[in-house]
Amino acid sequence: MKRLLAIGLSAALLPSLALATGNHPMAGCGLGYLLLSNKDNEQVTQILGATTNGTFGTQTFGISSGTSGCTKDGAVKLARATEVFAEVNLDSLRKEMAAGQGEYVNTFASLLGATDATRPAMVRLFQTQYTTLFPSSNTTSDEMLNRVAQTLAQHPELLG
Amino acid sequence: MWFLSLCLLLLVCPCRAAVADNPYLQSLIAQAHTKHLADQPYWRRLLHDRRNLFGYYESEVDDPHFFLDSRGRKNPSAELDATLTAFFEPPVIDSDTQHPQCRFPARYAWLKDQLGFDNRLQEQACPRFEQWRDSMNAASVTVIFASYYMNNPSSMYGHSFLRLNGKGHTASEHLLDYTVNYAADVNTHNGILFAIYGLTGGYRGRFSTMPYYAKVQEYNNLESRDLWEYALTLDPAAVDRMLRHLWELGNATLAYYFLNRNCSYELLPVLEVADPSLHLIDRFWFKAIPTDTLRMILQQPGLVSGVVLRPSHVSKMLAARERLSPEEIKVAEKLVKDSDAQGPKDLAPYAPERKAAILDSAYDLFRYRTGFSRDQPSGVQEQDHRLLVWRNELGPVNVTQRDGPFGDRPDVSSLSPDHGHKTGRIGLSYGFTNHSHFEELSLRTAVHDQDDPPLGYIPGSQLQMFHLRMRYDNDRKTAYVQQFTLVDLRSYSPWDRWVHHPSWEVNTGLNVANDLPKDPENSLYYGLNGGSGFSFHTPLSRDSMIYALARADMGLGATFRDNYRIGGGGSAGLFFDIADFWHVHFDFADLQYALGNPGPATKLTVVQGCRVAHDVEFRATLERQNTYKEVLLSLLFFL
Repeated sequence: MKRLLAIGLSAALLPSLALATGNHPMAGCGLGYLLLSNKDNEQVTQILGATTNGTFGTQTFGISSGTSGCTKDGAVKLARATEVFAEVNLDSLRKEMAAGQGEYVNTFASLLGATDATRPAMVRLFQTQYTTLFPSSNTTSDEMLNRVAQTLAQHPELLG
Repeated sequence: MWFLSLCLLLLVCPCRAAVADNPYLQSLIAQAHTKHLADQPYWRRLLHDRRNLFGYYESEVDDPHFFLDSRGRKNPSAELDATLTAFFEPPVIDSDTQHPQCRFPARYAWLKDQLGFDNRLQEQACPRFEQWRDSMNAASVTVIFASYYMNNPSSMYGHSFLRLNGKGHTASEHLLDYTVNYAADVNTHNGILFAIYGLTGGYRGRFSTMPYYAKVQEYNNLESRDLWEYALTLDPAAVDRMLRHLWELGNATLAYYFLNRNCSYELLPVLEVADPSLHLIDRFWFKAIPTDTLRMILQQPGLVSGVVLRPSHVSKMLAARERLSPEEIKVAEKLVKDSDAQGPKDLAPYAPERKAAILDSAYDLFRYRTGFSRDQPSGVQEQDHRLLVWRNELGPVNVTQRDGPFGDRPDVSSLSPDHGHKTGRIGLSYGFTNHSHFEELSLRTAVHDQDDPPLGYIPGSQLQMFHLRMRYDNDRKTAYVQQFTLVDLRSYSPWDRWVHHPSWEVNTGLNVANDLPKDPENSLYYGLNGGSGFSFHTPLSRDSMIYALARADMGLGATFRDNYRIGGGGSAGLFFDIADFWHVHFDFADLQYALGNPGPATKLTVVQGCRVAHDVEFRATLERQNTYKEVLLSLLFFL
């Protein structure tokens, strides 16, 4: 089952592989807004009490809002779950995969198909392979996922 | 052509007529009337009906898509009949459109249970609802409260949303849980328009579900807010009712009002549908502040089973720094600035665990300074990559658990935001001046001043809205307004080597010019006041601060020579706690008015506050402005 998941993951990533540079399929999700800088440092918005308080994503993730690139009725499409997680949490993953510990890298491993028994080994693998997975200072989540897929393809035992 | 139209008409109309004539439907409607189902509290809850100011029941949802009858908003009985009728509509053809049974699954489940539907009513398959429900995969529910962040007093209101804990998700997999969030659809970043629309219902609010990790990034990182997670004891049947009803709410948008029909309030009717024994909304009419709605949830016996803190980036960063020695802190700071890749040399003298701790703290500080937005300049990205590669090169290293934000204080639950004083305040005071003695009644809608009990609020900060103080002078037998503050914001954040913001304040409203030698009822004016400066910690007590600000003040009123005055100057002061319950504050302000009514205004204030009960404070205030002297003894009640 997990093997199928890994194959499925690689298959899902093939289009991104094909489209190579400059491609950001995640942007088509409408997730760009999640990556906004913090506007609330502006003095005026502070004074008037304006905070984000959850205004991001009310359209894309609205309940029964219909289907968009990555979501359906407010849930992330199962096939896109790993991609969405990697894109939204890229910075946290980049940090935790370097250190080889943390909540985000462990959750990521679970999404990729690790079991309780194999998760520690997968996280360690990410640490030892860090510079392969994040080769440059502007590695995108798609590039990272491609490299993760390639790395995991060589370690099928980690997928239980 | 007319023949075609007639055919079409015949196709459509008999359908409707057939539904209405269905004998089983008629018997169900009759049964519903006999049982007075439309008057049942649960039906009212499903419709979000509430008694309005005139005493009539009306739904708080004003979107026609939430109702099946055009009178549905004010007529629960008509809505119930229309709902039953709609359930009999023929099956839908395309899979994207929903049958009424599927658009209103909570109503369907309840009516089925109350009336005992049998197979004379064809039960429809609801693939969209079921797929969404399966994605939510909810076993239990947690209320999440996003606490304040430094340098933004308005955030003291807080924010709350729900998290649907996934079946089979362990404690370390909560990032993948879905959240339920009610928020306004905001289309502007213009602060002033935002405030106007938000206060007058100019925005529409809707419910959305997104993964918890998105919320954690937004609150913990982007906004540096702690997240407090309160686990609820709702059973699976209650969770099922909640999900059905949330799907119904997905049909509609609601008018969003910052003050009372906001993110935290709208969660309460949803919880009331989940568990009919809860009564959460009754107290909330004109104001619903998130900390108050949180306290209401906590007051329900047995509803909350525990609280967990998920600290913000800043909280974790400062707690981890406490575990570094002064030299290690300096090395971390150097690493943040390092653009010559000297890092490994600076780290060489340290053992691997210390290297890891230093690099982790350096990275924390680096991210805090650069912010969490994705589009960073290439120099920043290079430095980010460098720091992480150095960390990675250390290999597997055992680092102390970095989750607790409060260092050596293991029991953080006593610091949770619900422990703060309630947000409304009534004050009863007696005072005397050189010339007279008086009583004062003060009423404040929200939320906190610097001398109120600080637990649960940002130290040194102040957020007051609609604060009215009225006095009655016993000697002159006159009543007058001493002060009516519209907005008063104060953010005094103590300077820290890593987290430093200027201290600032802004306030506006009506005030009495006590510095002028006139009777108070003749010296009321409208003022706008602001200041900027710095604050520092002092060792006198944990949250003690010393501060100094430059100030500017403008007043408009007939009491001034030219009907206005403008001046500037500064203020300085100190506050500290003698004991947990005993707070002291000295403030000295010196303003020179150059225009409109020239003259100096020197003010010295000493405040002593004693918390005598959780929501009661006794306060003694001594004030001297020019030649005016006043002593005020107050009993303040938070409610």
